[in-house]
Amino acid sequence: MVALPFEHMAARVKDQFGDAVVEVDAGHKIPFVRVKADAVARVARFLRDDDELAFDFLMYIAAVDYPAEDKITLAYHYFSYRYEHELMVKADVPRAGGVARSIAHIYAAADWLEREIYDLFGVAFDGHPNLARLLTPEGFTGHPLLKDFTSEDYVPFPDKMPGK
Amino acid sequence: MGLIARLPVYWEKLPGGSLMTTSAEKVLNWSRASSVWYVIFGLACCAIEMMATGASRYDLDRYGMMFRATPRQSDLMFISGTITLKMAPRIRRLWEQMAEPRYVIAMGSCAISGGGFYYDAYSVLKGIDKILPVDVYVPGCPPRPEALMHACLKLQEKIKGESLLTAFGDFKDEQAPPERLDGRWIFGR
Repeated sequence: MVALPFEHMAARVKDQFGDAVVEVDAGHKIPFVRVKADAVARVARFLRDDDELAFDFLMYIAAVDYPAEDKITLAYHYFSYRYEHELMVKADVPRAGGVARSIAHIYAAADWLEREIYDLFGVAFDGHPNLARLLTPEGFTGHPLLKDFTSEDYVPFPDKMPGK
Repeated sequence: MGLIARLPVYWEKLPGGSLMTTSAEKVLNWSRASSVWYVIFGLACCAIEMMATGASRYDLDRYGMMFRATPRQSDLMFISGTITLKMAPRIRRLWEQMAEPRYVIAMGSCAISGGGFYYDAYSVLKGIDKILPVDVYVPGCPPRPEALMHACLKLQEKIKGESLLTAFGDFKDEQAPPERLDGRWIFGR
C-alpha cells in the first residue's frame, strides 16, 4: 500500500509495452510517459488492471495544439485511490485527421472527455460509442481551440472604441 | 392618496363624498408601471447582482417588481450576463413566450455588446440586441444594484409615457427573427 516512485512505474510500463513507449521524461514537475497513439487503450487497460499500479481513476484528458510541430498532444492524467499515486501518459497525433484509440470502454469518465476533445480539437477517437460534439452549438463547424481557428463569430476586439 | 398625487385628475367635492375623473390610459399605465414582474432567469455574474437587487437589502419589491417563475406571466426580462451562441436561441424562445407588452433590460457590458472579456470569443453573441428589442441598457461590469434600480425607474417612465394603442403594436416589426437566427442555429431544424 505504498505509492510507487515514477521511475518504477515508468519501468513497469516500458517492460510491458517496449517499443510502444516513445519517451520517458522525469525532468518536469509532472513526469510523464509518452506512448504511441494506437497504444493508448492497451496502456490504459494495463494501468487499471495491474496490481502494483492500480490506476482506478482517470482524472482528466488534456489536449495541446502544437502547430509548429504539426501535432496535438493528448495528456492522460491517471490517479490511484488505492496507492495514492498518479501518472501522466502522453500521446501525439497529427493535427489533421488525428486518430487515437478510445478508452471510454475502460474508463467511463473518458466518454465525455473524448467528446470534448473531438469537439474542440478535432481529434477522432477510434472505438468511441458516441463521438458527437459536446459543447459547441448545433451546426457548429470547425474546432475552436486549434490555434489557426477562424470564424465569422470570432471578431477581434476593436483597437479603438467608436468615437475615439 | 398616492394615486391622486401622481395623476392628472379632476376632483370635485360633493355633499357626502367626492367625484374623481381622469383618463383610463393614465390609470392603466400607472398600474402597469407599478407591477412589472420579471422572469426568474439569470445568465452569468450579472445575475448575482440582479439577485442582490431583488433581495431585501435593495428590495425591488418596493417598486412593485417581483420574480415570476414563468415567462408567460412576466412583463420584463433582465438579460443578466454573457449570451453564448448556445444560449441565444433559448433566450429568444423564453422571450417569445412572454405576453405583450414585454420589456427587456440589457444588463452589463456582455449583454450590451459582447463584453470586454468575451468579445473576441468564438462562442459569444455580440450583444442581446442582435436578437431581441431592448428597452433599457445598463452599462457596467457588472452594474451596481443602484444602477439596475435606476434602469427600472427609467423603464417605469417609459411605460407611463406609452399609449395603449402603441404599447402592443409597435413591437410587431421587431418580432421578426433576425436572419441569422433563422438559419444556422435556431428553429429551422
